[in-house]
Amino acid sequence: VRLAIALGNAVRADDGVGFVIARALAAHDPAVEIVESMEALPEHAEVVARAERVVFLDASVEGAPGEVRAVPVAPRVPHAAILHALTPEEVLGIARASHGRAPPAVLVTVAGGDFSFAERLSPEVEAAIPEALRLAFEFLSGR
Amino acid sequence: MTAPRRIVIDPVTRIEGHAKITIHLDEAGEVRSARFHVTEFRGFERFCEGRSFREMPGLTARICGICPVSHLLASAKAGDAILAVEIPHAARKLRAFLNLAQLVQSHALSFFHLSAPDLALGFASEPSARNLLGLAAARPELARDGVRLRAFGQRIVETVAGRRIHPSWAVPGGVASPLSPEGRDRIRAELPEALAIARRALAWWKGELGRHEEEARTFGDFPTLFLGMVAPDGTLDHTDGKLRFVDERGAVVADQVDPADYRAYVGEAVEPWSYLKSPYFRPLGHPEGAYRVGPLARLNVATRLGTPGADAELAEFRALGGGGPVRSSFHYHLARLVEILHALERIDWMLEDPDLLSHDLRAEATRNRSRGVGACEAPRGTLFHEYEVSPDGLLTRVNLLIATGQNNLAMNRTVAQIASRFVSGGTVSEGALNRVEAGIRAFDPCLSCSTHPAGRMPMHVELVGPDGKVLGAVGRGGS
Repeated sequence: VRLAIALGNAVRADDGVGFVIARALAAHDPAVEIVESMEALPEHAEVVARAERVVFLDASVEGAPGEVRAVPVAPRVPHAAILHALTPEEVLGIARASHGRAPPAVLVTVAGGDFSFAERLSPEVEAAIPEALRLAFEFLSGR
Repeated sequence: MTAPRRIVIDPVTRIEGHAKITIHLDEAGEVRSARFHVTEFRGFERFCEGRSFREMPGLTARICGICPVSHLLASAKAGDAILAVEIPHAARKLRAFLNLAQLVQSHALSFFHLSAPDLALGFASEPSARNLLGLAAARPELARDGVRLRAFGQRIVETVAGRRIHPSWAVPGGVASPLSPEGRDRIRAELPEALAIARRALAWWKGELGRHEEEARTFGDFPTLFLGMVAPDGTLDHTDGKLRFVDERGAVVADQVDPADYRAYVGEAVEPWSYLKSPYFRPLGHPEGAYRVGPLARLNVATRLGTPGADAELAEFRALGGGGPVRSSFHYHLARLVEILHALERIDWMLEDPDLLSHDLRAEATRNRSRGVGACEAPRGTLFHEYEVSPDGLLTRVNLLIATGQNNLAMNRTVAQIASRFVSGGTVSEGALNRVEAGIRAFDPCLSCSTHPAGRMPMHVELVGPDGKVLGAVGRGGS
């Protein structure tokens, strides 16, 4: 299984960019399994552990709006959290510890500029989707 | 006069919706007060204005990734009130069934994933091992039980309402689809394991309580009022109950209050340092009317839970209060486990009810009232949705009163109490830092109704001197 986990909030403008990329990815290659979630959660470790490759898709607060980054994700032990969300690294850490396996993974982010309540992306983020899609697709294809 | 010193704990930074803890010290380095800040942006209510109230269940379910079911149900109930209909019995039962399943999965996350590492390994244990993986190594059965129980609750939610909480499952006037016979049989087959896990966790945690007497004394042990929803006979009712407030001695001070009248009983103070509202029991004023909601409050408020195993546990739980309400916020943990058992027992009973398979699920109507309030017990406490609509059903005003906000005053006092005990002389040890966090974690606050893009910051504590200079810091590595 090649897996894309899209994180974000669809009613918070650019925070929903991960979902848009994930849907484009699924349209491009129906074999890619998509998980859409507002937050990375412990149960995602199970599906991550049985995936060949995983791409996490998210918005970022770092960088100029529309800036696309792809960084490898290494498993890491979760910190005790007050709140509920994990990081992609922590999901991989749980996958390795609980299910014996953490597949190669990458985090593809698009820097957002607008995180207000809205159901649309800002133009810079919209324009960055093809590049983010290309990076995600190349990684999942093993290229 | 010199300015008081402050200690700032900045645990999780998300662009908005991040929480920060500030501990104010006096000139002698002793704790004067503390605050749990939330800088969450509250624009959601404005964002909803102008939309149809019929859209709201699906829209508000997208506020929160942890308790979408609660928003879905409170919103659908507010819609029922605007339609002025009585929904079919089967729809009412299916909503209650879904609410109980969500309670199980959410409480499992809180107890097993977030809190158990502290509870099982110790608050002052090595930080690098005090996490879910450390728990899996030290107490593998506990870690495994947590994963299984949460997955069970999640599967029921998916079976009833669709994989991603189908936006149109709960609607004003009812629900869209029944439980299928296959779904019912699958839940029935998995239920014994879930019940066994709940009983095992309760037995384990009750056996551990003796080792945590100091935490029970210092983690938010103070008098407040409590709010929860109960049936007319006082039995806990998470979905269709009316409001009951009890005071710090356990006396009922308001009972069978229709949620539609909540504003007569609940005032909302707004503090400049937090976007969270600080609700209080209006007859007593602010801040004397501070009350708590959630599992601890529900067990303090209810006359009974209404299922046999859980009622036996309730009797034991009450002993901790010595005849009155259980005051320590540390016992949110035990209350959560008792509620999990209760929810599973009730799910077990409800599975025998043929109404869950009924297709008579919707009451049809147009807008008949200009205002509607929907309330239900979310995992973290009583949730209110209040809508006002124009004659064509478009929202003109939205007010959401969430559980975490209602615990705001109590969370502040909890932080102050823990800090007073464990912070002195202007220094914070790792163990003290962790206890302050754990005190907040006992309430299981949820700030998911915010953005969470990548770029979280590490936690740090700063000690700030009278001149604003940072005297020292305690931090944790980030990603």
